[in-house]
Amino acid sequence: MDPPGIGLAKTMGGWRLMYFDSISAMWHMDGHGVYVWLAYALTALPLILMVWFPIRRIRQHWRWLLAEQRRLAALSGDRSSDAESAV
Amino acid sequence: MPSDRPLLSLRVAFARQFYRHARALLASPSDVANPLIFFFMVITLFPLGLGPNPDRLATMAPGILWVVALLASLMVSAKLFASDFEDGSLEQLALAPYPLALTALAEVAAHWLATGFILALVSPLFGVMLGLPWDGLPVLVASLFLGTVCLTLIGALGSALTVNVRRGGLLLSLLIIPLNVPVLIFGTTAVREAVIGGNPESWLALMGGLALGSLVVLPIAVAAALRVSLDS
Amino acid sequence: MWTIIHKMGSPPWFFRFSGALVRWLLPLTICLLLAGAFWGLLVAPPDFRQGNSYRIIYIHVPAAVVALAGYYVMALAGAVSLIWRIKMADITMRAVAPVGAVLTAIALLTGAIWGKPTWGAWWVWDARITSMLILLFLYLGVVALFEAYENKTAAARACAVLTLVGTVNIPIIYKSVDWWYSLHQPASIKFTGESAIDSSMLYPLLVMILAFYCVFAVTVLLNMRAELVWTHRESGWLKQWVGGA
Repeated sequence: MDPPGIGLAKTMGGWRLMYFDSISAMWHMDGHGVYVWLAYALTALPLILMVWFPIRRIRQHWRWLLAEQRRLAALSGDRSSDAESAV
Repeated sequence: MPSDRPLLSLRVAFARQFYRHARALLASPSDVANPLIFFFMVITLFPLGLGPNPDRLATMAPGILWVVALLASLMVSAKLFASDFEDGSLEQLALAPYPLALTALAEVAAHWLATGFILALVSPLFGVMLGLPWDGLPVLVASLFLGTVCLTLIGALGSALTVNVRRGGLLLSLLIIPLNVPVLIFGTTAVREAVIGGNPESWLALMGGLALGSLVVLPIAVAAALRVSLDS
Repeated sequence: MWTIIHKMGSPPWFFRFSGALVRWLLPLTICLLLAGAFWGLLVAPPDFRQGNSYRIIYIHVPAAVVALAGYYVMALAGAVSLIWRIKMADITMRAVAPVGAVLTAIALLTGAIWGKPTWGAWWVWDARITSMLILLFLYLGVVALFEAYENKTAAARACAVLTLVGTVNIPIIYKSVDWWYSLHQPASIKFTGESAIDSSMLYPLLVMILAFYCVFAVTVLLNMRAELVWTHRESGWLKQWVGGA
């Protein structure tokens, strides 16, 4: 994954984009990597869930509404009195 | 509102409500005694848990006394409006032509006199038991005297918000403990400053300001919360 | 101005507006988050004193800032709900509370992780961390109070009263915790009063703060939409909308 000698920090006319020299240095971060990456992972997870949960809830409600509408349409299609009372 | 009886002045309305609540409290002395017994017993637990070393107990005494006072106020505030809510007199109070903030404040004042005030009066006893130096005792009384005003008012808000909620007790502590943090910090710091010979007056002044501010703001919030509880 | 407020109070209008808003705000948020994280994690230079562990600042500080701001948003919505009895304000409060609680928890968690390499302990009773912990309790109280009431209109008004009292109290809590900390801690551990932050470290921080504000807005809007779809399932405008879709 990380052949030595391939630098991440490409110099572009003397301007370094990235601070770290290699991917392993990026993971390691002079011994602090565990903490930093753990913190970012534990932030990303709740953020994703916080967006995903309401979207899922909206979808579920939406599907329920569509089903309800289809059911009502089917009921009004054959206007039998017992179907009316079933509502 | 047509009525053949003239309206009472606000002061009289306040006093009547105060006496009514005070009489109810006097009729059940256990309600007054329970927080004191609670205070006494929890204070006993600390030397048992921390060891009897007098020096260590003395350094921890301000914090212990204040935390237990906070817990005692938490315990009693759950019941502040409960009986009035159940027998419907709270509804009468809300319909009465007096500001609910004022009449609620009268109840809170009676409640404070029966709990916080008495707690402050007997606190030197517990302070001596924990080896609190003599210099700390008057400040302990003064800080509890001012601090319990805030604690009781905040407790009244919590009680008003949860009076119509099932299993409101735990919810009540969740609601009011964070609001009580400044009172706890100011109170313990005042007592500790008195013990180490610093200047407790400024902390007591801060607590006085907090108590006055609470007296102005919180009765309005309590009245609003009571109306919400009655409507729900 | 008033027409906007009036429109905001109308669920059909809000539903349409928020749908359009989320549609471009969500991609923007993701881009900002990725860009800010990339910049802060990989581009910015390390701190000369704390080394690379300081990179946690790019999530810790934005989460804390937005969590605190969220409480004021909730208080504002609470005031609107109490004064004008606008239903949308109730829904806003209910949508903000869990988001604020999660952001506060993120700030606490990242603060704890940051504390390990910096102070050598997972948890230190530092003034800011303690204040955030109390803020978490305040949020949890609002969430719990909302759930405790059967009648959601009453729940919103109760939460509004609680939030407004909490808003008055927050500066007092912060100040008192600050004093408490400075009285009890030796000055050597303090990290407060850092010198001015270098711009190469500041810009990614600003990007991340903006990104977290966007996260807050998107999640609150989504929560509100989910709530609206459910509470208005019987009303005509939503049925028409579903039928048209």
